[in-house]
Amino acid sequence: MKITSEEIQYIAKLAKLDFTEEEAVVFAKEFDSILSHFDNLDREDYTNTDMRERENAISVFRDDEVQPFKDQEELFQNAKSKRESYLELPKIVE
Amino acid sequence: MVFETIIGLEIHVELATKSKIFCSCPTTFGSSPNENTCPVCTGMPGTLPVLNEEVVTLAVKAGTALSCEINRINKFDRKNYFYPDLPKAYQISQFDLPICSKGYVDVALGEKSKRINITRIHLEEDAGKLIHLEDEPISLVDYNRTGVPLIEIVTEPDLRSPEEAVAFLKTLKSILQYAEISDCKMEQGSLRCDANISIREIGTEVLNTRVEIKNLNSFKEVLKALEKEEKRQRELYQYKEEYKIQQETRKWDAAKGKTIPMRSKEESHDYRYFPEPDLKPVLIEEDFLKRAIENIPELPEERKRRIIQQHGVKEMQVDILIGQKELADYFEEVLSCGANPIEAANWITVDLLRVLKDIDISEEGVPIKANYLAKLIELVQTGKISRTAGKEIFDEMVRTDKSPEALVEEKGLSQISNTSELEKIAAEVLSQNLQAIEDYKNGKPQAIGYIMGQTMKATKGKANPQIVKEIIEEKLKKVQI
Repeated sequence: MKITSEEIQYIAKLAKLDFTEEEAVVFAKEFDSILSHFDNLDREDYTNTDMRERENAISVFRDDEVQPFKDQEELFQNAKSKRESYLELPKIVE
Repeated sequence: MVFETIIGLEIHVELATKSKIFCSCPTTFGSSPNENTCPVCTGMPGTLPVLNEEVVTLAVKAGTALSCEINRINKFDRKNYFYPDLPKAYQISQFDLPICSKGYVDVALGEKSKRINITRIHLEEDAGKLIHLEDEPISLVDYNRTGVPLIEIVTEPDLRSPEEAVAFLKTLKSILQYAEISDCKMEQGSLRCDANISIREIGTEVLNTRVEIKNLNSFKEVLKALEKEEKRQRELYQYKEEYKIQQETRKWDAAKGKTIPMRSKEESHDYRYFPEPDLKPVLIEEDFLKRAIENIPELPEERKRRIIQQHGVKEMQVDILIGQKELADYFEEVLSCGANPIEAANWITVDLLRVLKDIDISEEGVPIKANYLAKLIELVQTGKISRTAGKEIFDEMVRTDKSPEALVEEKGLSQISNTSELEKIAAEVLSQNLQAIEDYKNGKPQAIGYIMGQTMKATKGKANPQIVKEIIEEKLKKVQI
């Protein structure tokens, strides 16, 4: 796997991050090393693996019960601007 | 060249659970803004989602009702994008292992039936609601809907006209309502539809550039928006300018009756999906599956067959009854009150339907109590009141909450107020009271009171006094002495 700094810049743009060319080159190398680690997993054969036999591999469910959270004051304490109980933002134009 | 229209739909349906998909906030519609929120659905750091079991049950029921394969192992993925309606900056959805795949719906199109294939159904969380103010440079955010469970149903591009798309949607809605998966209220956004539409030359198999239309909030808008886009694209093909059709997402503006472009072209749809690390894969065990399927309520087609077989009602009428679940439920409730099925079907599909043009029964309920309609049917069938009187009482029951018996009494509509019968009785009374007639003719108007009294006595007080009075006055005028 070879990640280019152009790919880094594209992903950065999607993630709304800003990197210099130098940073992008460094990240490209680091991405590469992470992805090559995943290549190890690809070399394993999982065809006969049944997730059901793996302890803790399967989702646990919650009952459909309502338990309201009451402290909206605290929940939205970091909101920069509110109008009544709405959060207020600069207008988003599509 | 002859062209055909190719339409595929993506339908988002809010599941009828009490709590959200990954937290215990209520899913109630119409709460005050941001009332139904908690650290989980607002994406606070350190919180973890826990899957609501009922969501899986309802999705399995939906998949089964739509003849899908249920994927016994499915999983959640993160769909990453930035928008203020999504506090986590990713939506938990399903990407490569959805809960259901490969289903179909048979849609009745006039005499014929057409099979519309379903590609997949996946689970996801709903996003919040944004309100863009008109007069200020402000948008308001309400996270109540964030985390409400959704299924997204994706169809194959099997639909060939806007009418077919609407017919499919109606059938789908009816199935989902019967299966009690969602209330499917388009006006409240619990059923939402996006449409992909393109044009191609008949006989070819290519799929040309398509346009996605969002924000279709009623069947009427689906029809209008698709007809408009279909016309635009067909004209471009006719003038060989089809290269002007771009793959894009457009938003339907119902007020202006046109579509407007939504997302800028350069922003490619790269959602960088990856497996959701906070949730384990979902395993649907055999007994879970069995339980979910066993508990699916009777679906429209089954109900139709049963009503025809069990009650002998005409197919055309049954189609009307099952077309709206509330109506079919009402019909069977009337029957359970002892009404004759054929008569009940007639009253509901003719008289009630006339009244329902102005009433939304999914909101307000049927305006006549089932036991009242059953009683009315009995009164007419046993000849206690005439059919005409029955219709009068029916209309009155729509307006008031009175029982048919009370109305028969009040309006004097029992059969004995039938004019011809009363005329006979009055004639007989007159022929036995010649003295009274003579008195009347000799200027004693009070004699009429005596004759009326005798007539009332003859009918054991069941006659409508107003009608009796008119009949007697009429007859006395004609008497020559």
